Amino acid sequence: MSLDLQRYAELFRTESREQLSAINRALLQLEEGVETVEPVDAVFRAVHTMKGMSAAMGYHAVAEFAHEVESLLDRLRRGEQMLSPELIDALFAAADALEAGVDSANEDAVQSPGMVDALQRLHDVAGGSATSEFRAVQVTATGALVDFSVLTVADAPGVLIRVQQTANAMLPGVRAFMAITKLRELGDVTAIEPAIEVIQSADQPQTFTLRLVTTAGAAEIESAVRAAGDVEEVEIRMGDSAVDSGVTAVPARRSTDVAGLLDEGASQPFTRTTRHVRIDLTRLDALMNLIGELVITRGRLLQLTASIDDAALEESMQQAARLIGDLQAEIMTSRMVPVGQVFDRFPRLVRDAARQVGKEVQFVVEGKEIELDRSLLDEIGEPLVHLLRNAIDHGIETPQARVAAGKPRVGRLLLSAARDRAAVLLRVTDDGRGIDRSGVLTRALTQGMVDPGTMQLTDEMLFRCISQPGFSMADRVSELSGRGVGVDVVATKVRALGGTVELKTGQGEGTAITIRLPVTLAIVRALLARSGSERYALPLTHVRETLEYGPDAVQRIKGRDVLVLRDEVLPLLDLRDVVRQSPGMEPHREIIVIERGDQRSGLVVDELIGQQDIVVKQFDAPRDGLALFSGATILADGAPALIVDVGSLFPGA
Amino acid sequence: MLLFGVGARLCACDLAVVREIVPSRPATRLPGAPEWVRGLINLRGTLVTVIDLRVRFGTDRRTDGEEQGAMPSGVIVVVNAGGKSFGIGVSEVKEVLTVAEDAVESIDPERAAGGAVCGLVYFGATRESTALLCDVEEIAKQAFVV
Repeated sequence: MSLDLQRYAELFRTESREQLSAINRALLQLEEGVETVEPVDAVFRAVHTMKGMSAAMGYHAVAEFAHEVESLLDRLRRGEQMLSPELIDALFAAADALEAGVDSANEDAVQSPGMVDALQRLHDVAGGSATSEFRAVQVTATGALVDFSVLTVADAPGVLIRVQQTANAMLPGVRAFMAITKLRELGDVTAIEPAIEVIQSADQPQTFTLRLVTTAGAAEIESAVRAAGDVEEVEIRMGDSAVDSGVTAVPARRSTDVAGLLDEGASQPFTRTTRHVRIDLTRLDALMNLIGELVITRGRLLQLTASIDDAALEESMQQAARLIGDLQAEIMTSRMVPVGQVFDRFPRLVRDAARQVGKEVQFVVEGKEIELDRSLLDEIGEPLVHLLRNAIDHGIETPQARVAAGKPRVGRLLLSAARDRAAVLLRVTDDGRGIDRSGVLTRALTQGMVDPGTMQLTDEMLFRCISQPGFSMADRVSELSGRGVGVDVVATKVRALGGTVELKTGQGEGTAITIRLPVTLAIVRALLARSGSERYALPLTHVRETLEYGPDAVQRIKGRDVLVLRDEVLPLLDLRDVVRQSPGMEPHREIIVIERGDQRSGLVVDELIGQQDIVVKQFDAPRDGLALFSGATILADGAPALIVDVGSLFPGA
Repeated sequence: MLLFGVGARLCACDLAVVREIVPSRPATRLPGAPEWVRGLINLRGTLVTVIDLRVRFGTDRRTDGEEQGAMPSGVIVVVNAGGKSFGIGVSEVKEVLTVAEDAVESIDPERAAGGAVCGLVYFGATRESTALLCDVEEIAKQAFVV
């Protein structure tokens, strides 16, 4: 591949993914029976665009495949091909094959077996359409089935054509007469309803039907009708298939100014490109790293400046510090992307998952426009998939069970995103059976996860139980918990991202799981603490307050040191134990009160160094390393320091 | 190949995996990690985990008082292998060797340093010297969660 093309290959893939997501979205609409032709047009446009892009890249296999699919879609658009559930499935398969083809595209690739299969399937379904049961794309403005009764004489030859004029048609009678004249050029008009005189003298927009004996195809017929002008809608039923299948539904399309739609489609990407520039993610990451270093250096410079005590220097430094702050904010903003980018693939996923297990699910997405740092967004897809699958597999009941329980047959699954101050909330809500609280309690008691004698599990305790790896892996638990499987995976991942998970469930009412994430991962405010000769960073999100270690605050109860804080007794942890250092002999120590949800404890450290913005950096963690670090940062003196994942210090984490 | 010393031993590794060689510097200890993981270093803004080959080969048990993460002598060979970028702490780097293919003798990895060594390299005018050929990929596999 030439250098130029190589540069565009990544762009091609990104744009293709956008097109594929549009295709899946439109196919889902079609499947739901959206009664317009727009989804078909949308799929057509996206496939057409992909054909063009892949041909330009020299990916001929993909281009040819797209071309084949496009041809079929065109027939669908023109109403020559009927839409059936089988065809929609085949189109989904084609979209998958196209996606696989894009991922592995190169100039020499031939059509993959997946593509060949998908094409075969499309052709099988399309070819056999005359005998399969159609689900018509409803095309009339009212959505009512078109009634051809008057003209439907089963064995009469010819094509049935129904024309509806636009509501604001001028001289409807004349226009109609012109349309009929045009059709007469194509063949013999054997019947018209209402009578031609009525049509001709009409002064209101009207709908009329006629039978045409012709050899012309649907496209030709339609263009003849449209040539007359003021035509809202044309429906064409080819005589043969109507007689064969004997169904009343008709394939047709509402061609509301298709030219206009296409124009819109063509101009949209243009206006977009004028406002947005694609930037390689590594560039954004590099910028983020640089600004991170700069923020660290700023801290150091501010310290130095303060010690020099020079007014002019101080002023310049303050100015620079402010500019660095603004720059940081701008760069952070440039990394924000709407969660819709990840959410967009979920409707398809939910559809497939629900089909697999025979559930009926109405999937609703809210808050697509909420923005999240790019690095977080990439990581959050997997946990969300897990939660959605759980809701479908275990939460939402089968249609029969729902009806028996007096619920609507179709389960409702809601995925929503919302901003909450500096956090973003992602919530998966279902109206399924909920988690069996007493079942989980019984199990938790036998496994010793809760204190013996616990009578009732709160939502938080419940979540802590089911997010234990051992617990959720246990057999029978999926039916027991309703939603338990793999929750530990989600909890672990979210914690690693500096977030928290909350759960609410009601027996028979459903379950809501909320993921709370920081808006950005890259820079956080943290407390630096010294332990022996080592320094550790604790994100402030989990720090409540700090205090001196001393006999006033610390008491010994039941052989354990505890912190007594305003009538509250908190367990104490020693950072030296946490990081496996030998006990120290520091005379003067300090306590950091840490919290997670409504849990609190005190963490004893040798010294508090202070607060500062730290840049979170990931590193390749060695095997067996303690899982209590969420990353590391580089301190002002250049030394790395580990960031303590405070959440993991709590029992049950 | 890159020839380097680990304690008193001579070792070699494929030059292709070597990214750079930097002076040793204090590393931040990674609690819980195996003894032969020295810790994290800051390599121009990137965090790199350093593995201590001397400890890994058992030639140089960490002496009492020398904590993990302390300033060690020697140099760090930064390598890319097994999809990871990491540092290998060695005593000293000797030279770059060009050796014929038949000058490398494979040995059963089970027998040598828990798989970290995969062969013997013969070099010198009459092939009178030998060095242990380190399997950097295998070291990466053993050290990191893949």
